[in-house]
Amino acid sequence: MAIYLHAFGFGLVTASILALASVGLTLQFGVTNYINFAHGELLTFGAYFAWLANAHYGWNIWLALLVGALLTGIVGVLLNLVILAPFVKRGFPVLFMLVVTFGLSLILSNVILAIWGADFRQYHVAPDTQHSIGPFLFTGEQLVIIAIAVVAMVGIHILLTYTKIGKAMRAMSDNPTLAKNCGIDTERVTNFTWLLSGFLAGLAGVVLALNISSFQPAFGGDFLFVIFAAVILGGIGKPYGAMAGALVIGVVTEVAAIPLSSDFKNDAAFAILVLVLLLRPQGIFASEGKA
Amino acid sequence: MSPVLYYATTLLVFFFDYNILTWGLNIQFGYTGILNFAFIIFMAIGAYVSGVFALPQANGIAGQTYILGLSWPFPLTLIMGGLVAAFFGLLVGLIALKRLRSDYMAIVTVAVGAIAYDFIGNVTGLFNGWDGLGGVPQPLQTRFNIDFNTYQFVYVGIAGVVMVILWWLANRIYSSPFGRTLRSIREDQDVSEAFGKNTFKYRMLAMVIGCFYAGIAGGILIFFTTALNPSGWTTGETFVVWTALLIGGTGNNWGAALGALLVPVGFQEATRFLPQFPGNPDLIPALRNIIVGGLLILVLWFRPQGIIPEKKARFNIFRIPLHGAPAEVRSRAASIAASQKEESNVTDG
Amino acid sequence: MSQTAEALARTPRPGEQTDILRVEHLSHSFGGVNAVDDCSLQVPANQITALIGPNGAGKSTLINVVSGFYPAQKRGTIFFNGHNITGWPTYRRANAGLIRTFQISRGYGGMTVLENLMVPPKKQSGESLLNAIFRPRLVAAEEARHLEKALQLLDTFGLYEKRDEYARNLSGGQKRLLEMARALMADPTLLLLDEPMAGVNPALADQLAQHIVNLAKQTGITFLLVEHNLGIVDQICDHVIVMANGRALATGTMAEIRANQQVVEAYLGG
Repeated sequence: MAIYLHAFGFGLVTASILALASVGLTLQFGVTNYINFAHGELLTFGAYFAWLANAHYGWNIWLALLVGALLTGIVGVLLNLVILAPFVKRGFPVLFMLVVTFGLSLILSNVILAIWGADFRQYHVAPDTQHSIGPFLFTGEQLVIIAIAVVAMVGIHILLTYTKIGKAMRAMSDNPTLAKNCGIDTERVTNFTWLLSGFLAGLAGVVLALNISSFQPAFGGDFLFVIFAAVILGGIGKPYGAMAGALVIGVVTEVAAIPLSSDFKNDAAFAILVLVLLLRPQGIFASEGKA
Repeated sequence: MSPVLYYATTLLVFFFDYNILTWGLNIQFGYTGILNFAFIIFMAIGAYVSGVFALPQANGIAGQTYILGLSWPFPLTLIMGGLVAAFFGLLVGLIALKRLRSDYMAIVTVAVGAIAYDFIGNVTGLFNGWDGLGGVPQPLQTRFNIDFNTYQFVYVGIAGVVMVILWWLANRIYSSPFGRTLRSIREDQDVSEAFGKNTFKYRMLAMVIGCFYAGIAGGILIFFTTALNPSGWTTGETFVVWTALLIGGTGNNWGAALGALLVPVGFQEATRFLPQFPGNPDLIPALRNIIVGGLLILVLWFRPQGIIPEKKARFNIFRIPLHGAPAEVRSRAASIAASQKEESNVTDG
Repeated sequence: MSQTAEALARTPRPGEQTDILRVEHLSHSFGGVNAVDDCSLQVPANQITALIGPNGAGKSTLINVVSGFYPAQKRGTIFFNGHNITGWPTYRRANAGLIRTFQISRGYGGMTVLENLMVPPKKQSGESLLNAIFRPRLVAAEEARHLEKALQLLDTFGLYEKRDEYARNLSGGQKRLLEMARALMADPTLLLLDEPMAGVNPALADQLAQHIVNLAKQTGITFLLVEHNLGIVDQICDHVIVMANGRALATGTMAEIRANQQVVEAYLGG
């Protein structure tokens, strides 16, 4: 039994990582109305930027995390400004925007491969000790990961509820035409959303890399469909849904790894994705999805 | 056989094979507007299944483990590969195609791609895991014991015949009312549904046919190379097919063939012999993938219709019965009829 | 079989008055708000009926529920031509003869005008994969028949010269004409037109109205129009249904409707 409780604890850590990644993806989808298939590569960029700061320049890992996330946010904005926004401006249908972001995922993952090579990388961190909290066992790092996710989620909530730009994001997500007619500067909101989505993806990439201890250029892209599972479970385009979806997927994949094998734990996420699409495509937490 | 001739025949087989692949993707995306980002998975399924139908029982070959091992003869092996790939296309379609939004479909295929890759790699008993299948017997080779040099030409013939049949089929589908309905779904699925088309059924058919093409292409590949492992069907390979189709021209099978000639055969082969960088062995493959992805985006920006765009549908309006036709048709048809001294030959049913 | 003969076959005998469409106690909600709220109405066969009402009255929602675009929420019943179609998928309703158009014209932009018209005919044998591959003669003969009808319709709607043009290159007005011609290729029993005159200049609106009147007379197709242009409604419609707050408020001729105090209030208050 204890082993399942420990797995549940790991699940909370995975859920924290997933929440960072999936809330960013779902917010960006809500505002731009197309899925970014290169989101996984943003995670990878975050991990490598932080690695550069931490292992190469010897910065503290948490400072490196912040730098990595910020740089990834800038990558997000650049992607939008240089490639995606011009396509949107030309009136490209969603179908083709998906092909474009899919193409971007190939380019970005290979840019990473070309720059940093295929070797596994690790952060320079001090050896960690385990703390038992209630029935759970966490390393110090894992506790910080959970704390980062909680702070970020509270921050997102405050942003969406109380700030002007957050409200504008929600308005664009609900009804883009109306938002534009109400005088919202949709270009600025879109760029801000890419910054935020990239920032969150960068955070997620670094903490994911910390949690699995070593990473290589494909690791973010390989994690993408787990993020999708969380996003779809929560209802695509719904940030609070994505948080709940991340919690479910994170816990289920870690607990499922006990009877299965950790090789197949992501298959559990896939199974949930398939079930949700078959039974409740609008997501279990949303009344009306964008389906 | 001279190395040049050997290389040329090898390229020809690859070209034929990529034609089949690109037409399959064209049926899905170019005709119907289905986004399949795991297209290469269906090629892999076709290849492996063809392989295990052709291979003898697993204990026969040292070190390999795989299912079946039935020693079936060609072309049954090839057809089974196509059919099983089509069946997996059906399963993925059941999950992905019910939804109206194209995003879901793309998400499901990406997830399927990731899962299938790990699954086939990790479950060693299926298709020998990450090491992949090897020593697959070549069609007709064992029975007739053809020598190595001649076989190269025999295989060009085999691949060519299969290609021609599938070329004919793809074009037949395109110009039929079935193909027209597929294209109408690509243009506006809601409107087609409102005209009584069961769009789910049609999209499913396009998915299944396209995956059948991929499966056949997989079979043609594994019977030529006699081996396949997961490094031969990474996501990058899916992009190669996508880029070929988009550069050549979506919705046009000539365009798809041109794309297959330019991207997988031309570009990939031209860069195959570039020297490796010491210190970063992945640099050249990475740069190739960056170029393939970059080409994909550039062609979408500068020429979204591709080099050879889709052709306008032409109807022979002078073949229709004269009664009730508009004035212009009547007069022109009458003059043609007068010159040929023959009535229009299509009867009103 | 000619168009008129087909029409005669489904035209009721003189004096017989039937409702082709019957909606009973239908509700449809979005996130708890009832856009259509316990709505009951009838559309008489072989007539031109208008569905009018202030913005937000639920007209578009009703059209979308009736045509099957919004899946039924198990509240209320829809009868069409004697069938209970409430749970039917959209394509099945269309095959039964219930054809609709869209508020914003939606041509198949990447297909030619003539090809646009070749899509709708129902039960084309060439739409079966096996026929398409193995029975080219059967398919060709059927195509010739559809082609004849399509050319006639293009001639009627003044699009004959545009037949080989991509639909996306047509002007807004031509798109409206194409949409109506294309809907007729599907041999509708009931044609739902969702704001067919929206964004159309007055001359073309008159032209469209004339087409509707002629078609109703010649073919016996039943029309249900959602329309804001009350002048046109007055001019061509036999029967008017007023919707407000998700339900049918009043029915009758335009003159009766104008005299109805409730309706006037709904418009002013809505």
